[in-house]
Amino acid sequence: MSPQQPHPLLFRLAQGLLATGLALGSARAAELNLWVMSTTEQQQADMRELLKPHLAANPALRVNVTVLNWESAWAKVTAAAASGQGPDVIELGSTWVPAVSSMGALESIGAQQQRELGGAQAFMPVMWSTTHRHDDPKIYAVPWYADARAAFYRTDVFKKAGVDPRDAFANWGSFKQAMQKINGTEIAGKKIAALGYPGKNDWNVVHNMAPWIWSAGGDFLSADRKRSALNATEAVQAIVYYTSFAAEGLVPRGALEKDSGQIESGFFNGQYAVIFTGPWILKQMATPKAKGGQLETLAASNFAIAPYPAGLKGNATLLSGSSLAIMKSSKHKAEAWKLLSYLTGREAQLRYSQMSSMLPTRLDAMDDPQLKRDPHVAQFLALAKNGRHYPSVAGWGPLESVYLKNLGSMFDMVGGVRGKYSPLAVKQAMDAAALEADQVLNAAQ
Amino acid sequence: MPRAAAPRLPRRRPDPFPYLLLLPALLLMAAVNLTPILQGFYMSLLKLNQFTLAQYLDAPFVGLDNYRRVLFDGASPLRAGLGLALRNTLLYTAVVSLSAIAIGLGMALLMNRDFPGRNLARTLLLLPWIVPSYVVGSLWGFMWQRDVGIINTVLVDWLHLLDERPFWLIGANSFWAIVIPTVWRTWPVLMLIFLAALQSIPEDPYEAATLDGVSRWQQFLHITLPLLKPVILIQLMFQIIDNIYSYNLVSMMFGNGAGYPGEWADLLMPLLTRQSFSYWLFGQGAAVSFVMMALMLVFVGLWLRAFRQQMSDTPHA
Amino acid sequence: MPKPSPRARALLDLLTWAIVGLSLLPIAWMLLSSLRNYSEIANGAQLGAGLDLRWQNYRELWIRVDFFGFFRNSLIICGLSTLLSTACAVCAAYALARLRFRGGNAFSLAITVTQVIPGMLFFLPLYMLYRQLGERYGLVLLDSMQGLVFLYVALFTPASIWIMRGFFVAIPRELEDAAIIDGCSRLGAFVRIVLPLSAPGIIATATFVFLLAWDELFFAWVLTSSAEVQTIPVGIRLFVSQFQHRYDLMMAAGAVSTLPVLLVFFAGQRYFVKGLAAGAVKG
Repeated sequence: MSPQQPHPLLFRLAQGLLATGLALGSARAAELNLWVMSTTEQQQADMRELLKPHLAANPALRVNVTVLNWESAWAKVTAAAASGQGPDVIELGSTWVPAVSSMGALESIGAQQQRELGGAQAFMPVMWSTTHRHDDPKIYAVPWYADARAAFYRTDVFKKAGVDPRDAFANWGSFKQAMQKINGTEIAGKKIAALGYPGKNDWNVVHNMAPWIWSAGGDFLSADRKRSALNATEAVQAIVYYTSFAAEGLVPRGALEKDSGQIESGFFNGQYAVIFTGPWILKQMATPKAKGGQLETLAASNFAIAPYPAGLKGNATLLSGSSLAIMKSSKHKAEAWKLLSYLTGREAQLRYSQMSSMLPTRLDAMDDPQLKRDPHVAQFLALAKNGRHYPSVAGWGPLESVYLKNLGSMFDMVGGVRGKYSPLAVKQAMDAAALEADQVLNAAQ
Repeated sequence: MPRAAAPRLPRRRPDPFPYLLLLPALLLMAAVNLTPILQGFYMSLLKLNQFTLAQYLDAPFVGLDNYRRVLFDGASPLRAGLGLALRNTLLYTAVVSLSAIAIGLGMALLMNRDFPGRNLARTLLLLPWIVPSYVVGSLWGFMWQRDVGIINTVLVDWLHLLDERPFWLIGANSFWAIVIPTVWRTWPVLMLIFLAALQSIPEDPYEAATLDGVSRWQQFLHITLPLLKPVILIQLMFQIIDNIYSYNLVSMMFGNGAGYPGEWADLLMPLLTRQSFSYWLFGQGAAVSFVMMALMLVFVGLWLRAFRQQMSDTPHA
Repeated sequence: MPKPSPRARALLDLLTWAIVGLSLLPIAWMLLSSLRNYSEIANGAQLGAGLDLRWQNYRELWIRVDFFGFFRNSLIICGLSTLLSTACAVCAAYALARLRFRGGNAFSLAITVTQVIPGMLFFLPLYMLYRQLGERYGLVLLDSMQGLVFLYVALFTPASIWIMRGFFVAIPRELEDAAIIDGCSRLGAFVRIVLPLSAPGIIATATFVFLLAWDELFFAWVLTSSAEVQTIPVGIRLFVSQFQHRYDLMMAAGAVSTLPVLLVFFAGQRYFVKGLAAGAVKG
């Protein structure tokens, strides 16, 4: 049976069911569908609030906000790209833009439109670089918000163990020593572990490892972006260094089966003295428990932020975030553009930053004195300048899956549930990973 | 499927009545099964990847190349982990199906006696089966936690069966972390079915056997088991199909992490779904699906052919 | 069967109840954990804190997510799917069990085939089909209740036909034949004689479909994106990925989403237990 010809009876039946939905759908001309990811706790309400000024200025406009979650969004964006049918404006993770644009699903953003926003120089350069493929000058998205990663540490624990945070986070050597000294310090009669990070059951495996790899002078792809570089000496060194904390018991073994959310919660509960994560937990630590936050915890009143300790090649952090793009299938491109430029504008970025504690991507918003009044946010803004991002290649999506799986498997080794952990074993595993990654890169070409 | 002899209808033009009755089901199956199968088969002949996805069925035609790649080309990214997932799926299916049937049967024998609170026990036993599988995933994912999970608390702290707290959610143990909840959730309904079958067995052969001095174990082997064989064979077939296609549990237990359950808990369906979406190799994905489907059809066909006669000798309730 | 000694009987009774208890432990654990304080759970001290039960977890769950919405959607979608799928199955199964016609065997074979199609194979074609129906005829099937209902009816009808068939085969043919001889039409005999007699089977099949639909995660996950149509499994999974550390709420969510199936099961239990067994036994 051909899909174009439904049975008439069925058709009538469905039409009846639909009558109400259709009546709503055809009411107004300028109706935009916007897909965003769930970043704040009350995304729908926050988006309504965020859009208010724009809707007030455009009374004929209606915006339907659909909140997706990062996990399910991938399948839906794929389907939308494949079918050529999706929302008018869509939020894409910074690592997704090259891939989704290579599917031909995104409208490119012209020179005139870029000028309206202030051009590339108005945005953080790293974030701007994620809006197009490295080998294609066409811009497909506009950076909306950013996040960087840093160490969150317990000031009370450091004090009790007699460790100076400035020394601790100076370089890899001093960081290891500091962790050894801190491990097992007693706070309120409870022993605290030095460091907490998740193992393989987590989306962030690659993101967690990236700053260390870069700091060691390693990278994910070769300079020509054609081959994997994960098995190069520098990268392997970084992976060995990072995993050694778990191998030496500075990260409790039980953490290895957890995910980032559980590790963060462990930090709030006083299980770890240090974790590496993004600015989003600032919001949680500023929200009272009655509203689902962590304000009353010991951690929330005794923490500070530090950059990653420096490796041989300095210290980098992962700067990532989200961009907004217009889908080719949109029937209201002019309105979609107006919505997009509103949301990526200075005021909306600042407002959204307050709601989500993510960072703005516009330089003029980053310099906002009000934003900088929060010392933690100011610190993150400063760190973001040191941020790096993954190479902007069309095949990054599949590649990240391969890396995620293979880097994740390291933790089986570290956890002692598969093979024996040793620097040599890590190197061998990374050789295999690089081989698999090269195949994926080839398949994407 | 055995079909009882139908009454002889007068030989005139075909009676439209049966076809009218089948029509709704036929339409549904055509729309949701036939169309996708045909399209899916066509997809398996196309180079359908990230760059051609937007063209969908107009993507370049590559004939059987996708089949060659997934079956023989070691460099196909989709194949990474396929072998492991196949191994796990076969093991998982065998262990789950056999133990669920064994436990279900054993429990049905226990339940097929008069004892206080029998009806209540039967109802209570079915509860695990009613708990939705996605809840089973998050519930057991919680219980299997190494440090704070109740299972390790019981095994290590209370019973002292183990000295050290093992990991259940990473490493080889994760195989048991998916097998045990599945068995837990599956056997009750099998118990119910076997119980119904047991109750339909007449008393006489047992009475005769008892008079002849045959032991209870011998009675079970020579009277009960042969009479239950048809039911067991059917249920075993359904179990095998269900378990090969298992998706929910793994996706709930590991999905909120990377969605990669590791080399011992990765099953075919979760793998196929994950790979299809993360690599966008939909052509090759469709090819894998078809190979799977063909193998399953061969299996079901052989099974029905081998056991059709025995499966139709069902005791009547 | 031979009568075992009273002592053996008592031992067997004990064993039976022990197994019943053991198999209920995980559910008890879910309920208990849903009533604990989450930082106690995080520290593995669920049992140490006495019997102070936090019923407010359930209230918090309700406030945190629009659980009621997911609930309502699941009820509507599963309810409609159950009705439609059972109706289709009753018709088709009757034809297969009682009438002889060309293509009957082919149809039985087709039913078997549908049971071995991997769900992933459906996804893109189904998505495209829904999209085309939407574009050409204005049928909103993507991200909509009717889309899921249509899919579920189609998905669960084949297996329901199988179960229903077992029932029809078990109903004595003589009753029907007598009615036909008395001048009843075949349709009349079906409606007046067969349907009432097979009521337990119909209820069993309906319960079965409801349980299956309530459990469906994959398609609900990929075909819906707005909270107005998302079902409980999707809601739970979204919830899990947002509140990974709140095991107390997760367990409460689990308990709450088990409740409706539990009620349906208890309502249909009398028929279901008999029915499913008979259907499955007959194959």
